Amino acid sequence: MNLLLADININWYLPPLILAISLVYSATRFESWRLIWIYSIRWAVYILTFLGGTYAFLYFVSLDVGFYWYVAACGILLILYFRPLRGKRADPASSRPSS
Amino acid sequence: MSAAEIELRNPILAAILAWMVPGLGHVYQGRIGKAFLFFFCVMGLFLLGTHLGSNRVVYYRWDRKEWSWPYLAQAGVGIAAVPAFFRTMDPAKWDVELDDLHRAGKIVDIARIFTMIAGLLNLLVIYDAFAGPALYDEEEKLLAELDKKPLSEDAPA
Repeated sequence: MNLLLADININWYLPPLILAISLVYSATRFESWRLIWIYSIRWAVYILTFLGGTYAFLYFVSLDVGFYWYVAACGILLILYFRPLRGKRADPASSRPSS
Repeated sequence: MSAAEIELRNPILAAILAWMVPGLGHVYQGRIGKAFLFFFCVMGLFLLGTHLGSNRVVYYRWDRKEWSWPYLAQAGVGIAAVPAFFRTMDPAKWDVELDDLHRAGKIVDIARIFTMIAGLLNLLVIYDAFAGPALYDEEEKLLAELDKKPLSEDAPA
């Protein structure tokens, strides 16, 4: 079997996939080119962040570290995730429309 | 701004054309820029996938030995996936060819994923040709938010 491009690193197949998905998805939601570009960049960042996070998580799990390190890492991630929410709740005036 | 401003012409015909060739429905509607975008993205992904899989990843087989589920997604790309129906392969060579394909390793899976995603993306394109952009009614609001301008002149202060 003659498979061209088969020798390159497997990660190089990701950019065209992300580019096509984010562009087509954004273009089917908007007609304005400005919004299409902005939202396609945003979706590309979302996808890369999700894949990067998954990669980091799996890499961390593959390391030979103790159970309590997993617990500590999950705790730190939870704190980082809920910290912005706590800041918004502490300021009720910002959630009410100004009259 | 309302959805009626986009000239969708005959939406059913536009959807059929969009299925046949990605972007053709948009050419029919006069939305040339998006037509080029859809054609290059969807067909580029599909052709790259078929090229990576040595033109063997898009095939139709529905018998006891194999149900080619990926073809359900690949068929979304339109005419480019139709030859898989008529592809006549010697049944005696089927297993040899498929074994040869699977020996190539994960590159075949990547090629198959490329072609499947191209077909699934074209379903979104078909919907766009049929009914217009999904968030078209919110465009004005989003553009105003980007420019940090009021939504309209007669909005209450």
